[in-house]
Amino acid sequence: MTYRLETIRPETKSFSVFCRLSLACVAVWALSSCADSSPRLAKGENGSVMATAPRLTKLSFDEQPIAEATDFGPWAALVSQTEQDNRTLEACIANKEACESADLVRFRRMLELAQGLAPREQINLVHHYFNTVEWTHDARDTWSTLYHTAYGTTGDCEDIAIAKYQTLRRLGWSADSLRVVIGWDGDEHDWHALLAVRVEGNVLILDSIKGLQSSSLLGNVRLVYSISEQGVWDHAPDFVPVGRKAGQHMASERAARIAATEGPHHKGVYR
Amino acid sequence: MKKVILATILAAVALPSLALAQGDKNVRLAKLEEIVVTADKAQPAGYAPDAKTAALLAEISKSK
Repeated sequence: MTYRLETIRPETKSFSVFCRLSLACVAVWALSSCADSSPRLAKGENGSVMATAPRLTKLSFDEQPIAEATDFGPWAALVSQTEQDNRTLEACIANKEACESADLVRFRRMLELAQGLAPREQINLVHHYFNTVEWTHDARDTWSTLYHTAYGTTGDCEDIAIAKYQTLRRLGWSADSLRVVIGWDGDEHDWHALLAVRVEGNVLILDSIKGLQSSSLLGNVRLVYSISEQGVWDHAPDFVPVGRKAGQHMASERAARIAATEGPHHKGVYR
Repeated sequence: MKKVILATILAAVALPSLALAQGDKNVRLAKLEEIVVTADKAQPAGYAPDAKTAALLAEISKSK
């Protein structure tokens, strides 16, 4: 009897400690879950993004990404489509006769000319070349590949930013110098995509609306996230975007307004 | 026995935290994917390229 008591007691004590610790862990987990799920922000789109997202000037190329780029749906789709398109694009680059459109012939020539330029001159040429694209409304918000944008020189802001990104990559720019940035343009009151390029210690912004600028001159653009082959960066973790339905509602309202005044396509004008 | 208990406690603490971190990341990525980029305005006048770039663009436009 004594023997049994001596052997059972320590185990019983350990089990009791184990139970208490487990209960404590569950309590901590439950409390942290409650804290995370409570809304920290009102879900108003414009107000909360202007209040919680940092200015574009705060963009740093030295932070750690929150995820792999291919974890992000639109980028994963872009990579997959780029792999499919590249065979056709490579054929065009290798041989002008294989180019499937006049715009692709011009793109090919642009690449030829850019290869002989200094880095800053390459940026100028690529930026201005793609700022000539005809703007089209993208109701599904598909991220188009370089091939697609170059084929017909049509697209919207994220297509233009991606085309510039992929062109600069073809010209030998490293992925850690390039970032497609998605943010809120406080001047245009609209979601916007642009390309940030780190060159000679500075960050240049290749913007399809405001042109080629230093990031310090675009203080009214708020950073929400950025992406490159190297990952996804969440610059405004306290900002909670509204749902896709609300975003599409905004887009469809704007599309309807423009279609009523200017027809179904809003043509961009390059000067 | 103590080792088993310690390992169980560590697993009980670490695994939910890891799962939560992974879950949080996926939820955050899904929220970011909800942003529909809607800018619909092209570059306005006043952002003309420099002379060299303009000359290159003119040459490119002649390519057929």
